[in-house]
Amino acid sequence: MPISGVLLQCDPERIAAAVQGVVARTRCEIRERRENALVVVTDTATLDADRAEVEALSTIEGVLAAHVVFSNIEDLT
Amino acid sequence: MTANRREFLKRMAAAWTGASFAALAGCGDDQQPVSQAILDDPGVTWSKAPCRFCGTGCGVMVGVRDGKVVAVAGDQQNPVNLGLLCVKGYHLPGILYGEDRLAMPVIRENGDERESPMEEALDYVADRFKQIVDEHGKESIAVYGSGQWTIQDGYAASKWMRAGVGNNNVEANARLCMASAVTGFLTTFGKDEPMGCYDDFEQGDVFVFWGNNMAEMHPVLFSRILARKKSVPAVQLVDIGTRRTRTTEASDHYLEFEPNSDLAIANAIAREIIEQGWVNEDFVSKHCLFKKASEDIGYGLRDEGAKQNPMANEQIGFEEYRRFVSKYTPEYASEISGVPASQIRDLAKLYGDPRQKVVSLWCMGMNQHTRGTWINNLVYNLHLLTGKISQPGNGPFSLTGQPSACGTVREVGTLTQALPAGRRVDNPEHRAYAAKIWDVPVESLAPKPSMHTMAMFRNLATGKLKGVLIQVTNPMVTLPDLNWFKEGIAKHKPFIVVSDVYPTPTTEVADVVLPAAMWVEREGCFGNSERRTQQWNQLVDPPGEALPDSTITVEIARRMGHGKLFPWEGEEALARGLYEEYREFTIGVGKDVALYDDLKRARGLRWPVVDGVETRWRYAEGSDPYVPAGAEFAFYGNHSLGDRAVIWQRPYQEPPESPDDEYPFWLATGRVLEHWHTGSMTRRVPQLHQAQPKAYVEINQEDARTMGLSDGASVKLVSRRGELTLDARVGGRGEPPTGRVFVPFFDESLLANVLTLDAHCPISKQPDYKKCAVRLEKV
Repeated sequence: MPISGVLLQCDPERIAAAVQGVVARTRCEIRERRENALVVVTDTATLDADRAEVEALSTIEGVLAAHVVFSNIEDLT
Repeated sequence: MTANRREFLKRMAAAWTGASFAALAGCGDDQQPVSQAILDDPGVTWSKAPCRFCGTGCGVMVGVRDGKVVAVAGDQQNPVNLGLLCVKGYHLPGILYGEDRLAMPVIRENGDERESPMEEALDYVADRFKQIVDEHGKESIAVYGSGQWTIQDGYAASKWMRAGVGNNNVEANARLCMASAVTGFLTTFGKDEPMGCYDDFEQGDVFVFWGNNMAEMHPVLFSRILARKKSVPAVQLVDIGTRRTRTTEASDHYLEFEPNSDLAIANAIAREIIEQGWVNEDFVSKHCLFKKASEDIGYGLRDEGAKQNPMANEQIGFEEYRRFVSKYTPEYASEISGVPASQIRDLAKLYGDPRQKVVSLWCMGMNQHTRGTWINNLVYNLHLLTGKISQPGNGPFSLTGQPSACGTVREVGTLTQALPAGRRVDNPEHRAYAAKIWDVPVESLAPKPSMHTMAMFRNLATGKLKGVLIQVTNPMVTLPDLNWFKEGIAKHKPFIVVSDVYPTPTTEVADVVLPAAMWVEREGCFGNSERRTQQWNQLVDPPGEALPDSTITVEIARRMGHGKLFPWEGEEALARGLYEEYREFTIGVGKDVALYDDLKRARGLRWPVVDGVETRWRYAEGSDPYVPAGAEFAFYGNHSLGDRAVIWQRPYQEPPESPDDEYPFWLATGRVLEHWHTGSMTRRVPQLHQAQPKAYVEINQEDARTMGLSDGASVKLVSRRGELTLDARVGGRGEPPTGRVFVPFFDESLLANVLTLDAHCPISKQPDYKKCAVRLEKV
């Protein structure tokens, strides 16, 4: 069951929309909020779901770029 | 996994990610405690390694549990990526564990195919190569490798061919991706590779992307530029391209040009710099000179007649150069390029303004160009005329696409003309130096370059070359005008040995397939785009009987009687021994790489490394130890020219093939974010494969409307060389203008290169994959 840490680089003027978009996703938690970035942790059941979360995060309004900085898949290998 | 462990991992994921942001924003003082906490995790052993994929050279922390890679994290201690990873880096564990990973050798003989133990396969390969050399001479076999070779792999292959077999039949796929950058650097500066480094991204005021989709191809570096823009909003990003991309979206200015017309635009900017009085006369008079060269040089086509020697040149004065560029008014360049003259003037102003620090960036857009060397020269001209070079935030920066295109192909020297550390086979002193280190008679080293990559495969396809060892590359996907090569190889049946990690179209044509160890399954070194050499240790076992490519080469060489060249026993000793011997070549010539033990400790070091200190800006006094005191700058690669860089007179010329009534569209090929090169690794990662499952053709919305095509519709592309049916992508991530289409080349089942033209830069011999003519037919 993958756990990933995702850094979202955001447009500071639209970060509220980005927060709203992340909060709406049940497999994601915002762990830290900065002026132009969000630290998000995803907790999913499969690699496909993990990938889908990251893809979805990258398309949320106000998000400029999504970087997976940490990924653990120890249950799956 | 227990709830406690999940919560522990989530806390670590958050802390690690937060620390990466802090590092990116330049306030990363709290990184160490986070790093330590995760490294202390009793469930996983963590070690450093560079990423396996592109030329950026990101640092990765690799987590191993029970002999398998189970986790990756961006390495916050690595100054390249400051803890960030792109989507490919995050899937690194997946590339090791694809279901069809090659684990045992396969021998195909007389129509039969059999699995074989490695020892037997190596014996078989060595016997066949020996037999070929006995029958056809030492020029009859070759090695073709890659910018994914480790430094050790490339050095072993080069030494075996040159000092063992006695030919210069060594080439690498980097010929297809950055040879024009090499010849650009050599013709202008006398030495290869960038003078600047990634630190420029935190110092520049203007970033100009010349045909470079950096947002998708080098996303971590692009994030550093975005962070710079965030901290200094006046920073400007300029995209000069032939199609809109994610880089365009993030840029302040977009100049869309007609393919090949970058030559005219660069000359027009140079003209404006001169006419507006923006030349840094002090810099130019002390550190530059001017040259012109032959211009009727052709396009390297198979059926092309004799042309002028592309290297013939003569020195000229500034006035002659000024007269030459004077015809490139912004209006004239606009007629050729389609870029409004006002945009060309505005960009010239940014280059010319002494208060603006400018970084020019490029990759395949400029290198895969039938005038690739010229356009590299022309962009250097802009930095030399303005003196904006070899200083923090000022300089031209050629990016690379493979993890060790620089470290292995360019520095070790795995192109036919090269010896290690910038030496050449056709220089008697250089051969003597190599012979001494290799402990072989100098007469045994072949004195002339033999075949560049295109010639090597033309010779394979016409039966002149009888055998080849291909390692960690996939030419049966990447060669232009691919069908011609495939048909020739099928007809003449040369003996082909391929070592790789997964089945590919190239392993399909092999007589012997050897399974290779990859990335952290073996020890090695890569060298990235900013001259940083990085080392990693073996962390897990390779599958089955797979071996590192260097070991495969050495074992074949030993079996052919060349064992004396490789006295090291065991993988660790071999990795260290090959590197340390290669390092001898680099000392004292401005390319000094670090000691192996220093690399084991560091997150890479940028050469020249003198007295343990790396160099950030080459050719600049105070930064580069090779520049004498009082010189300010010294382009010491051109020592015979008084340590001066060359400003080249190079004209705009038309490409060998342009759209016409029969084939009315321009075709450019390229890469996508999710897949790396031919997709042989990334297509094994289900998540990446699902994100981009097949090749497609990007079509402008207006063209699609005219043809009655909707997104996803089938469309046939036809060129003079082949045809290919693809799904249309309309209004997607990238959008070409009307009259142009784009096809990614990662999909081995939909080969873009059946369409492309086998034309190349006559100086670098690098093919042009960005420009040929096609027509579209609705299916």
